[in-house]
Parts: sequence; C-alpha cells; structure tokens
Amino acid sequence: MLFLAFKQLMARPLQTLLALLAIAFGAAAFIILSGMMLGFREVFIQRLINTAAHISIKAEEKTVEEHSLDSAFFPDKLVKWLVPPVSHDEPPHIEYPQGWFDKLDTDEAVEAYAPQLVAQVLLSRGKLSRTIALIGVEPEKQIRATDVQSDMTVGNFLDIGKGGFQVIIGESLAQKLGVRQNDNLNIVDTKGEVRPAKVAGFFSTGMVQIDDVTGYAPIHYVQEVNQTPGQVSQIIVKLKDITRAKTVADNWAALSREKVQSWDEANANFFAVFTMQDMIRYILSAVVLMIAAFVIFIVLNMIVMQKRGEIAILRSMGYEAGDIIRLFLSQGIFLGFFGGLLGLGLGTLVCLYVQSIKFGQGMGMSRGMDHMLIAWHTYIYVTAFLLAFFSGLAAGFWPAYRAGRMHPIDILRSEGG
Amino acid sequence: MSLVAKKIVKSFGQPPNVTIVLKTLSFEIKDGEFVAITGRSGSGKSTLLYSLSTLDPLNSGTLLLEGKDTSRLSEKALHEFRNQNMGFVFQFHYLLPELTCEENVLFPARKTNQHEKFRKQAVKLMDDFEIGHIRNKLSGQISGGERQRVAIARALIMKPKYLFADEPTGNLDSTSSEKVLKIFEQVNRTLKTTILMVTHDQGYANRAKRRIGLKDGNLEFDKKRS
Ligand SMILES: Nc1ncnc2c1ncn2[C@@H]1O[C@H](COP(=O)(O)OP(=O)(O)O)[C@@H](O)[C@H]1O
Ligand SMILES: [Mg+2]
Repeated sequence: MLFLAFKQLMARPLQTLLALLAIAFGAAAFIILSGMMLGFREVFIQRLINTAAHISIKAEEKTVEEHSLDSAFFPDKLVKWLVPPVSHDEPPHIEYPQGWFDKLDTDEAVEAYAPQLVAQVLLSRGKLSRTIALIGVEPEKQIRATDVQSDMTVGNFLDIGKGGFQVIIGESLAQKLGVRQNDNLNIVDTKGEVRPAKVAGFFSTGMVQIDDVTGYAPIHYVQEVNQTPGQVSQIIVKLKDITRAKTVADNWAALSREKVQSWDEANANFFAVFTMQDMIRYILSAVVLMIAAFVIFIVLNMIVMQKRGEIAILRSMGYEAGDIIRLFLSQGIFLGFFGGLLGLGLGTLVCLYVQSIKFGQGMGMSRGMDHMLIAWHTYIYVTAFLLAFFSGLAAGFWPAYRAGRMHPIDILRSEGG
Repeated sequence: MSLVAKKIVKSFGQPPNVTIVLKTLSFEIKDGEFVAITGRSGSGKSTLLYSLSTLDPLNSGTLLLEGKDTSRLSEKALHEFRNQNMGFVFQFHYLLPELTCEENVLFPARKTNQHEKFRKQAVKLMDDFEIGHIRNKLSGQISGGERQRVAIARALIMKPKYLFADEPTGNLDSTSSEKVLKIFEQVNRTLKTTILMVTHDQGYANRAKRRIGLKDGNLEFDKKRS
C-alpha cells in the first residue's frame, strides 16, 4: 500500500509540493520564532542572573498604618486611636546581619554571599550631575557572589578596596559625565553634604537601566554617607545550583523577617512577558500548521471521493479496510514527515542567516554582541518536527477513516454496476 | 469442488420497506463451468454476483465455497479467499491511474507481497491478451478495450478458481467485446477457471456453456448447452 500511496503522491506533484511547503513553513516558523525568542531570552536571563543575584535578602519596608498595632496592644478590641501610630522614618535595613552571615557561612547550598548597603546620592562633576544608586560593597565578597568583575571594562573591581573613597561607575554614565579613570567626582548625600571620590574604573552590564544609574563604593563609605554605620540593606547570595533558588529562598523566607527573593521571583514581570512570547510562538506556528493540515485534509478528501471505484476494486481483490486506511493515512504521514524535515532544513537556514546579520554598534543589548543570538536547542527541532508530523497525521486521519468505512458494494452500485 | 447456493435470499431495507431482490435461489456451479447470468435490468443479476462472490452477505440461505459455509468464515478469511481464489471484472475497468498497466495487473499479488514472484505470469497474461506492448503505459494512455483487457489480466493474475464479471462488455464496442469474450473462452478452456458472467447481451450469453436467467429475483431458466 505504501507503494501505491507514494505513486499517488507523485501523480499530483503540485498538490504534494504545496502541502509539503505548507507543513515546512509551519515547522520552520516554530524553529525561527523559538530560535530568536529563546536566543534573546537566554542572553537576557543570563544577564539577569549575573546582575540580579540568585537570591537577595532585603529588609522588609515596614509601613505602619492606623490599625497595624491594634492587636498587639488591645487584642480582640475595636480601637479608635486619638493619635494614630506612624512609622518613624528610618531607611530599611537588616536588623541582625551577623545572624545571616553565620547562617550563610554554614549553609551547604551557598557558594558566596555579599552584604550591601544602597544609598541614593548625587554624582556631580563640574556642572553635570546624576542621581545614582551607590551600592556599598565588600569588594572581595562582591566579586565572588556576582559577575561584576567580568563586567569591568576599565580597572579592577578590587581597586576600590585599596584605601580612600573610590568608586566604580557604569561606563555609559561615565561618558555622560565626561569622567575618565582616576578622575575625581563629588558625591552629594541627601542632606547636601559633599564628599570627593576617586573613579577607580568602569563597568558595563550592557543594560542601560543599570549602567546609567549605578555605582559601587566600599560599604563603610556608603554607611558613612548614609549616616547609618554598620547597617546592611541587602545581602546578595550566589548558590551552587541556581535551579534551587526558589526552594532555598522559600525555606529561608519562612524562618526570617526579611524579604527573601529568588532571582526569578524578583523578575516575575519578565517571566510574564516570556509566557506571552511562548503563547505567540505556539499560536503562530499552530495557525500555519493548521492551514497546512487543512490543505492536506481537503486534498485527501477530494482524492478519496475521486477514487471510490478504485477503493471498491481494491476491496474486491482482497484488500481490507485497514489497507485502505493505510493507503490514505500514510500519505498524510508522508507529508507530515517530509514537510517536517524540510521545515527543519528551512528553519535552520533562516536561523543561520539571521545569526549572520551584523547590526551596528549601540543597537546590541549587550557589549560585545553585534548580532542576533539564536537558540539551537535540540528540543526546538524535535518539537517542530513532532508538530509537523502530527499535523500530517491528523489531516490524513479523517479522510482515511472515511475511505476505510466505504463498502465496495455501495460504491459499485452507485457507480452503476 | 464447487459453488453451491442453497435457498439464498437477499433483501434490502428495513421493514416495512423491504425489497426482496433474490427470492430463495438454489443451484450448483461446478468447477470449470462458464456460466452467463442474464435478465432484464433490475432483475437482480449484479446482486446475485456480489452475493456469490462474498462481497455482499446473504440475508438467509447457505453459500458453500469449496465445501465451506461462507457465513462461518471471518472477514479476514473471506478477504484472503477472494484474494487467492477470485477475480473481478466490472463494467468499468477501475484501473489505478498512477500505475503502469503491468503494475495494475500485479496489484492483487502485492497484498501478499508476492508481486515479484508473479511478474512473469503478468507478462505472459498480457502477451496472451495482446496487451504486452502497453505494459509500461499508464491507463490514461491506452484505449477502452485495452483497459478492460488489463483489468481481466489483473483479475486472473493470482490464478483464481473463479472469475466474476459484471457486464464486462457493457462499455465496449463490438470489436473489443469480441476480444473479451475470446479471452473468457480461452481462459475457461486452458486455465479451467470457473466463470460467472453477467450480461444482457443474448449473443454473448449464448457463448457460455450454461445460462441462468433471472426474472424479478426468481430463477427463470437454467440451461446447459449440449
Ligand atoms: N442497496 C439497495 N437498496 C435497495 N434496493 C436495491 C439496492 N441494491 C439493489 N437494489 C435493487 O435490487 C434490484 C436488483 O438490482 P441489480 O442486482 O443491480 O439488478 P441488475 O444488475 O440485474 O440490473 C433493483 O430493483 C435495485 O433497485
Ligand atoms: Mg447490474
């Protein structure tokens, strides 16, 4: 029957080619969309992981409202305060950082951690000034817990620990302020106090929203600027296994007053976008494949109707219903299979082409990235092929089933025997 | 062995709209006979042929093939029996247009994957039927008479015991019809194939050794030529 199925496909080359192409486009669409979207996403996530830390432990910003304290002072009573309680204006900080350090030092899952204190300050040089988040760090711990060292474009991150008030700022910010390495800047705190600092180097994460508004300085300087000696506002944790971030974060959160977030929780909004992208990817490919399947379905249905007489003679010469089903189903499967293979080839070629397109400097989302990044995962190709294959199978199913149900006698009579 | 029909009844429709087409027919057809089934249009000739060839099940009565009650055989066994022992020719040739004439002739043998084994036989049959020269042509490229002869070669490729033909000359001119009849006579004589041929042409019917006449589903006559 495969012999006849193949001959029948070859006997209508145009329809076969059309169906093959339609299936191939569907599979290729999936590969190209997935390659581009996932390629972009993976770089993006990699950047996120590098810059956002696997787990961050932050002081909870406690807001006290009118009835927040009711139960503590007057349990089970309805309270009307004459002077409602308010929170006093202390910046959020971790109450007992040493407790966390002890815990992190002994936790098996932890690779490294780095305490930080973030202060909003004004960087000024001459007439130019910018507000930035100045992150106070312990340089040694910071480079072990994050990738900041590899993001350095000028200077060494450890330099800021070598005495004096030294800062490292984003390269794009430095360009905007017109500063070079070893230049001096003024750091102005919220109370207006001015402190000079030396620029030890630049970093670039490739993300403007970070590079333009972030600087690093030794933590004790930031504590001084902030007038909060000894305080830590957050601890960045690097795990040995990032995939366990959520589990570990949840465990710690249950036992502490601080807000413990894994990197993916902290960036939940991006993941919502990714979910959208996935939907688009699947829906688009599904639409193309459904059109392809529909083409195959229509063609096969037509063929089955045209070939009623031949079906009757096949049945009379001893071919069974199953043989007839196989005859038409195998054509759908053939189209799905080879359309899928064609799609793999087509998708790969387009991906290779897209990857080879160079775009101008500045358009890239990251330094050193001058072309589209394409994901090449096997599962993309397997999925694309399976989608194509099953479209063909599904499209062939009903016409084949219908042909199998036809009775030779009914056909012969209606054809005028 | 032989083909035996005992009180066979075939009807269509559900009560109260039942049409009885074959009304309790009984006869026996011995191996090697050449039988013509005649009768007016609508007398039940085709229905009888389909029933005797197991394509259409009976409503009652018994059909014995090779001594076996066909109602006791499974679908699968019937398919196999038809494939090995029966050939069919209809008014229309029903050749597969995608295949060459030779592949068409060999197609019944493909069911059991024996087409290579039967290729010689196909070539011989086609030569015998004067269609050897169109072996590699598609059915669209040959004449109506040639198509019907390819269809007959296809029906005979498995060397079946029975050849069932329903108005095999119904669509042919007299020259082509004559060739078909010659082939039937030759096949019946040399291969000892039992032939059941439905026709409403008295002239062709008279060429058979036995004629069964149907009228409104009843046996009108059953004559043997002496
Ligand atoms: N499926 C069916 N349903 C109802 N009546 C049928 C059916 N098939 C055949 N008949 C009737 O049976 C009778 C015999 O038909 P048929 O065997 O084709 O006659 P013939 O071949 O002698 O012309 C006709 O009256 C026809 O209308
Ligand atoms: Mg008829």
